[in-house]
Amino acid sequence: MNQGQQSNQGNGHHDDDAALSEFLASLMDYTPTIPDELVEHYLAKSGFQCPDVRLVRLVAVATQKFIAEVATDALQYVLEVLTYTDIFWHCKARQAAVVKDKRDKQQKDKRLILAMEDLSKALREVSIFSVLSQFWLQGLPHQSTIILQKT
Amino acid sequence: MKSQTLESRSDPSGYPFAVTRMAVAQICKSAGFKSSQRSALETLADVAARHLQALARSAASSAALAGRTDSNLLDIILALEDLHGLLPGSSTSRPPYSSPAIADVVRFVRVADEIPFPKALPRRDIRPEESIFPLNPRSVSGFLNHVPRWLPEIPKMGDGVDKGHHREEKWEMRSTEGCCLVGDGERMERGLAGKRERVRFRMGIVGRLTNGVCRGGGKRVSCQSWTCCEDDDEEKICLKKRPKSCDVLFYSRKKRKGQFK
Repeated sequence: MNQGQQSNQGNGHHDDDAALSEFLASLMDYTPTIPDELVEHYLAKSGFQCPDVRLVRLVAVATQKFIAEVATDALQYVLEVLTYTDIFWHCKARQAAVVKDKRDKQQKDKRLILAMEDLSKALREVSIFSVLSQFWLQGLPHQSTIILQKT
Repeated sequence: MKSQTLESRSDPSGYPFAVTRMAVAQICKSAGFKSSQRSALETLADVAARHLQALARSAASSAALAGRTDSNLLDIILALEDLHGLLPGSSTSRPPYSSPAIADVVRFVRVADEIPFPKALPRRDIRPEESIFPLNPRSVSGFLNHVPRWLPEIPKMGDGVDKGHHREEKWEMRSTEGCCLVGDGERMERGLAGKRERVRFRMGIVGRLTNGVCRGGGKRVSCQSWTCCEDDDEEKICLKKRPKSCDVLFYSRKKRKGQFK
């Protein structure tokens, strides 16, 4: 499969191969947050078969990266709202003492909560659309979420 | 690809889901969140589980398309690109090993801190143990666990002597008289069925054996198996020195001043 390309790229191909094998070796040092056993369970459930542990770790790391990205995006949305609220209150309470700043920071930390609306905004960026029917199913928990995945 | 409406979620009360939830909570904490809504955490855990399964399914099918059962790195890269969309420089125009999908993962590993999972998960290996010995029914039940597995299984003994006794006797406890000829010299089918190789152990210098393992110094215990000739009468068993298999057990002993080849 790579025969035609090898004659063209030559050195570049070897570099990529070397870099990737180095990376796979480094993967054994890095322990992904998703444990290997769990990943193997899901892989086996979907028919993925591989005797190589490094590829299992690769899948785990790829998923971790994806979830971390979604979480970071959701955090940005939360911080946006918080910052604007804080700016608003600071402008209002300009006469108040400066000591209040420290307390505000602590409160801001406590208020960093992963909520459904921020999460769904973040998921929308990766084309996972979740429909939150919170308008008419107000009291009901998460069962009302339908997830559409469009690729 | 058309859009899929997935209405069934992973079972939130299942064990794998709980573990996924813990792992996802760890990731969120490392991203900066201090707490989360339960429904949001479960949704994200569901997304993580689906992501894993989607990657696996896509990689497995691309391996199957190439006629392989085991997936390899290429399959995973293609699955990643399939899932996350094509970026400039993906597999369609360039060789897949330099695709941005894998470059992103490499960058992530380099940049992100390691967050190990807090609890150790018990590994339960469901696959039966690979064994070179055929599975004896004895080894399945715990009854005769003290008997080494390489011994052949207990053969069916004839009813001749034991008709009077209706209790079960352990094979080791059985007296040797029971194994002799019974009746009018008719040889009952006692003992091990079929012609079996005789195994002989010899200790000492075994420089004579020609396979490479037995050369050199030191004392070894060698086991030679001798085949019985087929065409002999029952009384006489001829030993032909035909070492079929030589399992050399290394037995270290004080070096004797011996002379060997």
